[in-house]
Amino acid sequence: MRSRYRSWIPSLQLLPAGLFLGVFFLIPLALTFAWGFWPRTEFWMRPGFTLEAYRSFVTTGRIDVYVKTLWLSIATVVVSLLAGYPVAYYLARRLDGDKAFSLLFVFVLPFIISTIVRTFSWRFLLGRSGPINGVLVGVGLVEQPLDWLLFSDFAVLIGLVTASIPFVVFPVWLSLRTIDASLLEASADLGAAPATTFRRVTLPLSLPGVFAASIFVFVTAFGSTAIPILLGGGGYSTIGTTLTSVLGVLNYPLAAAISSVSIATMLVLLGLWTYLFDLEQLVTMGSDAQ
Amino acid sequence: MSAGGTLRGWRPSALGAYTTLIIAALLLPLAYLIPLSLNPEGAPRIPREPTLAWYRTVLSNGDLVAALVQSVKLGVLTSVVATPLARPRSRSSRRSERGTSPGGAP
Repeated sequence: MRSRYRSWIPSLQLLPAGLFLGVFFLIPLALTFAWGFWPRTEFWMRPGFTLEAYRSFVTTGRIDVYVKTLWLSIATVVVSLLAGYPVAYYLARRLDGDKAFSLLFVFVLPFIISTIVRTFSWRFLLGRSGPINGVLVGVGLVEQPLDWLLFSDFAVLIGLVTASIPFVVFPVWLSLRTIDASLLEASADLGAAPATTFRRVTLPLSLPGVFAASIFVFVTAFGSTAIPILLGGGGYSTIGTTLTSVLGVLNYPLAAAISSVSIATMLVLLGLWTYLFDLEQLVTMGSDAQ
Repeated sequence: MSAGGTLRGWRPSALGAYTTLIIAALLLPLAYLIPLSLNPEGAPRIPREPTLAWYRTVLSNGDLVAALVQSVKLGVLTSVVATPLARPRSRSSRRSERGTSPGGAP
């Protein structure tokens, strides 16, 4: 009897968080989806069914912004993985535990500092009179300061990548830490070159972490608003900035439609993740690495 | 070649240097803000004569101080609500991973 009672405890422990998520996350999400089909009134909307908001999304150039944001997010994922994977590899396979944990703390620091503050500093660094242009002109690489360093795709990409690297380092580090060293030794003993062992053993076994990182980075980049505004300039549009401006003109059905399309994009990615990898792998990686 | 396909020789140091470079890219922009905040001019340059004038301006501006206090309140409130909600679930997960029942012996 007592053990049966105990078996209920984990479910009961889920209850507060489950209720909270249900009331404050799932219900608003469902409402957002429904509002996308409601007709717009002057300052609000009324219950009904119309595809006007979705038609407006597709026909007014916002679909181009959506596609551009998709490409920007994919570019951010690729560059962040290329930049962060070697760091995670170094921390997991080259440093002992204490040193690795100390360095990992450095990657926690950006998390505790506001995105706006972090991005704000890039605005100075990439500016026409900033230190990067100063060095480029100083060493003679360019004659004039480069204008495209700031308020451009390049600047937004830099901002998104630097904000995303910690999201790559942690999951990839976790997946690399859990690789059984005997597998790598076996590969080496069988005569595989280091590059071959990396390509055929290390990289495939770290893919769950890579894919988890891809999801985190994509979600961050896709929904980002502050970074495109600060580093892209006034006319720079992403799905996040479009959503903000649509809310500014009180077009709630269109805002709901844009949000629903964004959420659907994330769900497709999550579905892909669960199809390709077991969703529990990330949790298992975390517990194994401790 | 090392056991496990790790790369010895110059490569580890290259990886170390690369990691340092990435850490610098993450932290230097933040560090750059500190001297800028000590610049008495409006221009984004490293100051020749550092001053705390901007800090005095911030602290004497009622709206900015109120915004700061509001942010701190929101941060504390979020922690107070979120942590107790998530903690029972995380404890439950740890127990089930270890194969123990709550409150029971391992």
